[in-house]
Amino acid sequence: MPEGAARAQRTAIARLGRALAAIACALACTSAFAQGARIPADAVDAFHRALKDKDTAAALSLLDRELVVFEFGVVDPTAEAYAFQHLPLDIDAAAISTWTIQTRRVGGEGDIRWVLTTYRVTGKQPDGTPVDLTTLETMILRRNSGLFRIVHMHWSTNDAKFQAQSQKARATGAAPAK
Amino acid sequence: MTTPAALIASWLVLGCAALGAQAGAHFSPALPGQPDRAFLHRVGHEPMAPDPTLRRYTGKVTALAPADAQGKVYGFTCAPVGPRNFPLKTDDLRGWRMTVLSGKRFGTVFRIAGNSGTEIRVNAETGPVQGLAANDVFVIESIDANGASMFATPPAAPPPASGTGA
Repeated sequence: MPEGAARAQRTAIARLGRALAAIACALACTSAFAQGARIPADAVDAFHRALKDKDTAAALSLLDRELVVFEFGVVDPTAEAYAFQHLPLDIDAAAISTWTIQTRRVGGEGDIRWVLTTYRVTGKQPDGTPVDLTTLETMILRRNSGLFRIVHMHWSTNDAKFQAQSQKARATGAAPAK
Repeated sequence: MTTPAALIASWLVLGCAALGAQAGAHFSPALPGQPDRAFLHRVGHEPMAPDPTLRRYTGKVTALAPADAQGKVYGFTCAPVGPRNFPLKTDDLRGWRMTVLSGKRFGTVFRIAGNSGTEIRVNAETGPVQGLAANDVFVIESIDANGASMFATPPAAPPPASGTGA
């Protein structure tokens, strides 16, 4: 290979390397800052993963700012309300439990989609009390700037005792009896 | 000389940068109005017990600290709010992770450099706190940069001393 051509090839390789490094840097910076997902179910799964990872900011980045949450008969009327009083509890619950998808259906069209999932939730509380129940989840997602974020979530459970305990605790503001 | 590979790579970089800017712009829109803060006085609990290895401090910003020589602000005064807080002692929160839960900086993460009883300072590496405003709420969690709790599980109570009775 002539000297000139070899030099040009080395220069091109070096440029490509620098460009790839810049891409890696750009991706690393943006993924830590803003999330959302191009596929609705991916946003739901990423939200649960963020809870499990105790990653508050990642969980928040998957929520639409007009979020409303219905959970066990109680409403979090804003994203701020959910973030302040409820998200920490969901992170704690995720830490001691495993959520296994049993069924999932997705639907909707355009910028509004829904993801309906049932989970088997198992685990053990710090006091040794076992957790084994089915949780029903409705997620509605809205697409903005090409990314889906959760605009509504609704959780309930098949465990009447768990449901009653949760509703009573929320109504009185007291920690439930164990 | 610009080779096709370098040209393609340059376009990829520009594309990534544009995507990032777009996503970032969506992530932190200005709120149309102040959020209803009545929720701060309500308390809810899951029937699942909290993780004993994780501590949290929730509070609200009362004022930003003065700017440094470069015009950047890395501290603010605060007041406890909500059910998850405790009286602050000096540098109780050092190294903990702070996440903003309302206002223009919603979702932004800072790392705590230190604190006094009423003032919190953040590390310069996580950026200045400009954009925070009075009454913005936040949570500070005992989570290190790797996502691990900075507290171990409290040790089990020692067994009672064996009696000497008959």
